[in-house]
Amino acid sequence: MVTDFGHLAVIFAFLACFYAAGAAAYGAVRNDDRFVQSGRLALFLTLPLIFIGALGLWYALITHDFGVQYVANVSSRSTPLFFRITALWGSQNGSLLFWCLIMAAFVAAAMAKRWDVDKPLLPWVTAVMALVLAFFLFLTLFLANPFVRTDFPPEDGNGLNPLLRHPGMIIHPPMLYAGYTGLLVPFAFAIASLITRRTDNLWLQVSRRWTLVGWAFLTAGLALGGRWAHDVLGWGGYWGWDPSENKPLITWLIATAFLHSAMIQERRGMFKNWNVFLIMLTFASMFFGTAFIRSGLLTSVHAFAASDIGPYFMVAMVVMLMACAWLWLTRLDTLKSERALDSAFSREGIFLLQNVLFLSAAFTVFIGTIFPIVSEALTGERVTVGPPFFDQTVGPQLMALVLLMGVAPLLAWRKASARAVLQQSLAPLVFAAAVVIGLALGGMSKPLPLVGFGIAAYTLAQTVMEYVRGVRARVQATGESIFLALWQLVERNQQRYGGYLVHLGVVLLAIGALGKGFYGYDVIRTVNLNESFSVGGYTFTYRGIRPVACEFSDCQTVQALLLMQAPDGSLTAMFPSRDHYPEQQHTATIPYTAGHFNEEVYVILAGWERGGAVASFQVYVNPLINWIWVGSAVMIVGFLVAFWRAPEPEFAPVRGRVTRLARA
Amino acid sequence: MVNEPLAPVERHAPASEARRRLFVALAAALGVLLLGGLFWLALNLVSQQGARPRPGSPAPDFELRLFEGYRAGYPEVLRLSDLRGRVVVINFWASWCEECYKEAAALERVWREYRERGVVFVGVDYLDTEAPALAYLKQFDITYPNGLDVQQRIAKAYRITGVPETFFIDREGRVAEAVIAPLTEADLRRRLDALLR
Amino acid sequence: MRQTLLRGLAFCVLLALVVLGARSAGAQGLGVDEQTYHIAKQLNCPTCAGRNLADCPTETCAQWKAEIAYQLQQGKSAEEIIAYFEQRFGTTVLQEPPKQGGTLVLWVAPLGAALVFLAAAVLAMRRATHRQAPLAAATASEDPLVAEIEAEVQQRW
Repeated sequence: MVTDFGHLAVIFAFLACFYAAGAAAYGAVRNDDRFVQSGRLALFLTLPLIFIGALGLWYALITHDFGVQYVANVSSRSTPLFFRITALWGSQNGSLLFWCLIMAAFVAAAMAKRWDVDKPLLPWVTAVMALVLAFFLFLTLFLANPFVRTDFPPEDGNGLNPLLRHPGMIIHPPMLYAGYTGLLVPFAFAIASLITRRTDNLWLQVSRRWTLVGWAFLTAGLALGGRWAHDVLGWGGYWGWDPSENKPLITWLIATAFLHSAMIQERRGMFKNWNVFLIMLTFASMFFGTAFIRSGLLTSVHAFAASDIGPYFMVAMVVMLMACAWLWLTRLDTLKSERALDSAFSREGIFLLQNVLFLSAAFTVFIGTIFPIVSEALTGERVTVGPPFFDQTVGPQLMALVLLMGVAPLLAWRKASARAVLQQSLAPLVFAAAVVIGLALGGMSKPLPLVGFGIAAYTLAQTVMEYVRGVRARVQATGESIFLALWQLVERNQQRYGGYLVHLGVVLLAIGALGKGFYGYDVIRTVNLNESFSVGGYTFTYRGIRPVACEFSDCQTVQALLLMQAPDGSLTAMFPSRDHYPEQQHTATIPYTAGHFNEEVYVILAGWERGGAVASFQVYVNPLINWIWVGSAVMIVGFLVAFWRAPEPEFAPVRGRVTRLARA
Repeated sequence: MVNEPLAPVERHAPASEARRRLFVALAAALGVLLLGGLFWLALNLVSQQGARPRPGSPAPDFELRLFEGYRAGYPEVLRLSDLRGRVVVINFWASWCEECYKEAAALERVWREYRERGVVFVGVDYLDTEAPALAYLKQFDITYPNGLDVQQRIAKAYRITGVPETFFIDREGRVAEAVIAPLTEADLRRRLDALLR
Repeated sequence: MRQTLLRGLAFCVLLALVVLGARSAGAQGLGVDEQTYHIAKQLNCPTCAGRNLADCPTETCAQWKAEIAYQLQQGKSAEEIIAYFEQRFGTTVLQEPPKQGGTLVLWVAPLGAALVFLAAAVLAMRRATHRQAPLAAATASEDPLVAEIEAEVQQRW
């Protein structure tokens, strides 16, 4: 009953979307504010309506209402309450509803803000958002409805997919959804700006913070996804170039390119049509990726089961792309740059280069991801595009970006002087050279990682130097203490120094990726009870297996005891285990990690025979993998610095500014 | 917010206008190409689903290179179309497949019983390596023709989703039934009797 | 100051080259396990979505790894073993698509795209710079106050 009420609410939300789009557009064309306001309210209304829908489904999940098919699919009587709640996004149908909920939340929040300032754009923003939301509600209601009931409710449900019972997996999808839908906001503003033929930066300035929020959620989602893969999938890594990972990565790359080139438009009034193109591409990549994953086109670690929503996605995608292309092409003239480029050797020039690299990296990931399908369709054979392809093609492009990240801040706007750049690069270059030599002396002989570490060291030093230079200037000018100067510096230029902090995080992440990628290794060993084996400098002794209580009632756990002696002689007891889920016919390998910060030892119980007289272990040595987590965290902190209490963009008349300038 | 450019930008120089047109046309062409590709992928996606040979449709023909010692009097390369006029049981299996072990003995027993009545069993070894596959055949003393599905060509033609999977082909070379589960002797007899009638 | 730094840099680069040269010697013999692992890393396990053979825990993959070890003991080289798997199971078992034939497209495409993007960017830059002469007084000021004013002007004009 409650659930059906929720279903009804979602249907109303769907209708409200159409009303909102129609009323807002009509109001804009007729210049009648009452209709616009009405449309806006209708769009607001979708949030509570979809929330009621989610509550309805939650109610069914919590009360074990297996008459609802979705509930029977993703939960069982033994599923704990917490996982019954998170099961809302545990499978295709529910997660679509959840996606709509998050999208509605972002839409409502965007609508709630600054209604007066953004007025010229808002009718069309309302219409665009309403249509996009309507599309996802259409999928939810007509193709993947989580409210559908069955006439023969089963006694018990199937339970939640064991792979999804991890905190990382519980937060990761909402993060990604929030990232995607956050990027809907700048897209809607850009479209509105095109429709109204505006030439200014209003859409960019209004949506800038939303872009940042979407980007940050996407970043966090990717990082958590990596952590989940590391903890749950049991192959020792953090990134497998799986289609479901590549899809958010493509969007992330394009969104990052957009974030940077938007700065140029804001400062210099250039790259206008380029920015519109980029945000369209960002949105299209999100749409395309979602279509592919959700239609089950790409087999992947957690692809949704094949369903028939693919063709609908494709049609919507094509319609959207055509509309975007038409809008963009017919308005190229209005989006001319306000200024000319003075020199290619300038901040603008290097940003353009950086944009090119971001896009070609995104394109590489894209083509590698879809190539298997294309090849299967063309030749009947599904070519595998594994990590080696991506490592070899995307890796260098990302490293080049890291290098640009170090150089770009040195280049002045309009025209940079080579001398100044060299001068400022000297100290970081020496540092990088020292690092490379140190590593080479330390025993690293492969040239590629040395180049990589050299680049990372250079950019690291350069980024730190940005802070040092700023602090030094402040200390000299004001006589503040260093810490106060740092605080003041960051507080007054939050976006800039927050951005550099993000850069710092990227460098740390790159160092981790280089370490794990080039120096990580693993071996598999089968040993008798009490027998020892060594991997790297570590010696392992197998001390037996035993059944232990599983975290969940529908599984059985077998745990092994492995004693690890580190090169320094210290002993660690390791308990890798395997969870067997008889009902789901699934076995999860639960790794056990030890080692120290710079070198993780990751052990998996690969199997056993004769009641544990013989057991096999797969041991991964993951150098620097922890730098990846730290780097990701630093990136998020950098975002918070850039975002927290940052002044709202001002749209005050020029007068206020003039007085300030006059005073200066 | 005044949006006058700092310096007037040349707007209608003929050369740049022509170039712009070219650019726009190129962009449009690229867009169309992209869209076409998408459509094509979408169609492909639709056609891929449910493509398993349906009962009543002709069974895709194939050639199978048989393992030495598991040819049951057939030539080294067995062709399905050469078996026209007989009832054929195509069994996809693999030595790593636990479920397959449950049906192997039943398959062999029923084959020995029905081979005089014009029934042919064909074992198609899927994604398997040589030594364990031969060990499997030996373990169940299998005598019906068996061979490795090189590059999974047969598996692809029949769109199998895993092993074991068994296809029953009638005398006219049409698929009578596809079973996606281990079979018992009774299952096999019932189906074969119906096909032989 | 600058000269010392420059000299330091030159010295460092030289030292790096020497060290690298000295270290580039020597690949030592590996055991069967390690060799199997290296070969398995280059293969793809069809029963394991998206994972390489070395990391895949399924029974199929265990057999494949055993086969690799067996063939190694027979004295086959890594290339021969990989070719054996490819011939038997198709290109789909290769982690890395071959840089020849149809899959060469995949390898060339990113490079081609990067070049096209770059060409487009260079073209756009040239068009943008040719459209008008550089503005007078384009020198960035060192004085923070003046720089701020300039930034304000540029942003708000």
